[in-house]
Amino acid sequence: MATYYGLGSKEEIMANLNTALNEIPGINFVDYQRISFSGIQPDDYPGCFINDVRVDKTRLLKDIVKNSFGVAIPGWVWADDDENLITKLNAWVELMKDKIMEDPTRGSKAYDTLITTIETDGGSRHPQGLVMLVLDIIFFSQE
Amino acid sequence: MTMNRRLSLAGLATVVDEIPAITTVVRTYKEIDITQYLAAELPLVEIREPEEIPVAELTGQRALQSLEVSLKVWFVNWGDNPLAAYEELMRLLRNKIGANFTLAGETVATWITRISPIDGTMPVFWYEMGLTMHYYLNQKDA
Repeated sequence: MATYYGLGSKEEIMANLNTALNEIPGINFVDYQRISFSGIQPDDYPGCFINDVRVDKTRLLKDIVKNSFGVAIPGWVWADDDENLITKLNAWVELMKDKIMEDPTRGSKAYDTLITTIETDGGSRHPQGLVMLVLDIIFFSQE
Repeated sequence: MTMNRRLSLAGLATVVDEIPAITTVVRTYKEIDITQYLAAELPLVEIREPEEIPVAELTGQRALQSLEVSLKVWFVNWGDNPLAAYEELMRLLRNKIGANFTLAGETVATWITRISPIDGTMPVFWYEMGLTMHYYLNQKDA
């Protein structure tokens, strides 16, 4: 019987996400806690940020707290003249989703990972395509 | 032999406390706040003050009384399926009460009348066990 402890920390979980996303074939840029794309060079496509957004805490026992950790992952791709942006963006989303869900326990530091939202820019920045993945990562702590 | 509500419930608490797997027994008049307990204090059995119902009026100022007791059993389980732990705790309680159905002489008999399904949220789970306890109340010793 599998056992999930999920007694990690936010930092361990973020590090696991960083490692996982950096393993995506073809990824060129990963950084933390950024929302602005200023300074992103052409060589940095495709890429993503990993943003710690919020933690909702629910006390279950005096020394067990359930944490619902919201992580936002803005990602971006660039479609060349002979490429279809939506195809390229969707392929990039699938790669990110597959890599994130390869290990929903984040190396046994979390209980579960849920992808709750996938939102695009609707083509407003063509040929740049932006996507926002929002994760809800459940982990437990003493405080 | 003197029997009354207080002794019957004390007998129940004593018998349940004898189960090695049960760490804490709490008698309470209202629902406890489980968030005030540490994980090390579970499994915890919460014995709520029961409703008391007269069953039969007997001679000699005695009555057969019935206590409808609810036990709430809290436990921690980190596995992906808490059913094994739930069934084991249930088995231990049933066996203990079954082997001590007079609760160390404080009741006439004790029956397990209800066992709820498991409930709760990972990793803190609970279930309820309903008991009916009969004892002879001597009105003079109430």
